Amino acid sequence: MTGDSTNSEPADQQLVNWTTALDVVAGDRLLLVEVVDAFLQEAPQQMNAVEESIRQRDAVTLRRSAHTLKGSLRYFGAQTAFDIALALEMAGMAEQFDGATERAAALRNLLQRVLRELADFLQQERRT
Amino acid sequence: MSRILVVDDSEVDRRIAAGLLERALPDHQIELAMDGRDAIERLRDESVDLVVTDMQMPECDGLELVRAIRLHHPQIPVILMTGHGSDDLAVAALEEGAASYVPKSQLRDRLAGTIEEVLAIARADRTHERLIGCLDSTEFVFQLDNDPSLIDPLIDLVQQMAAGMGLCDTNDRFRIGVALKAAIHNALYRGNLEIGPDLMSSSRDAVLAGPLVELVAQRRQTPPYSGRTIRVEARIRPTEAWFVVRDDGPGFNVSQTLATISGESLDPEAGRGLVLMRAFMDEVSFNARGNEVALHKKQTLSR
Repeated sequence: MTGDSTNSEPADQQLVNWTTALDVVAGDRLLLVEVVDAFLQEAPQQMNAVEESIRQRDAVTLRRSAHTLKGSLRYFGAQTAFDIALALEMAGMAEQFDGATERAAALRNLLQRVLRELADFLQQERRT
Repeated sequence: MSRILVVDDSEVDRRIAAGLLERALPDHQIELAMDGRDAIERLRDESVDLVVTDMQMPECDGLELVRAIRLHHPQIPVILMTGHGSDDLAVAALEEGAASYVPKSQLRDRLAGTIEEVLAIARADRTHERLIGCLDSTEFVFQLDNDPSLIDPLIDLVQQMAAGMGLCDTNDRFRIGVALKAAIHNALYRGNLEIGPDLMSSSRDAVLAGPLVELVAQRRQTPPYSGRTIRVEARIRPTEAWFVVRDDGPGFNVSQTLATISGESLDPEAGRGLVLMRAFMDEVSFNARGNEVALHKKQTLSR
């Protein structure tokens, strides 16, 4: 079950697709800044909720938290992280926790990189 | 100015929806609620003209919210924002009374347009309602040319008749309007003007406001498209209504199209109009050629 859903991206590869992200907000950079800011605050909480729900075998919270993370990751074009979040959402729907801990670890890994790229973007935008 | 309440438990999604709306609809006031329960409290204290809601939320999801609004604020239309994996909930919410839906992947292209469409329906002139309330049955037949600007007045008229004669309540009148509009749009764009799904793929709004505007204008002037008309028949009684919409286009493969949506998928490429017609009408049927759709609606309100 762990298969390719825990695969990782090369460490130097950029995970955020800025073309996709700008497209979502109709090219409005100010709105993108607001959305990135919201994600930086929300995503770590959702990631914690995913991990805690796996520990507690709480399928409903796993499905919902992974669903929210998945939706946001799609906005930023982070495809591999999106795929893992989708797999976790499906696991929650099926109440099937096999391999979920490993998937969550892979997701946290990628999410941290996404968050770093987004934080850098925010810093740059606020400087200009 | 209308007040629009955006309901989503995700701050990211709230920011995107509200941000797009603030920019696309600057004359409207955008309010935010964090989940269904928060929305219900806001509706108790504030006047809101339209609700846009996420489906999956921890405290009172979109389906529960639609039910509560239908019960306590039936005059407020609800538009759903559907994410991947929310299809079943969304179909249930459409059946429970939601006015329309927009896939989250298409918020940028569709959300503002869908809101304006539903608000326009909600604003329809009600001055004749009392007189219409005395009507026992009515029947009319329109032979429309391919002018999109005639569609909204026709929908308004049908809605006034349907609600005024007691066929449906305020909320259901939106749904009759949305379903009939979907049928007429299909007849106009897909039927008479033969704009295929590939050209229509981004959204119907793109046809109305985007790069396909020229194609539409050109085909309206060019044979064989220019000679075609849309026939809309409506028979309305307090207990039920029938609508028949027929175009002069070549028709479409009915069984193939219905098969693609038989799983009730909300895939926008697989016939959003058909999904809405089927959700909002009691019966939907097509003729063999696929250029005529018949819609049947039974009374939803005890007189």
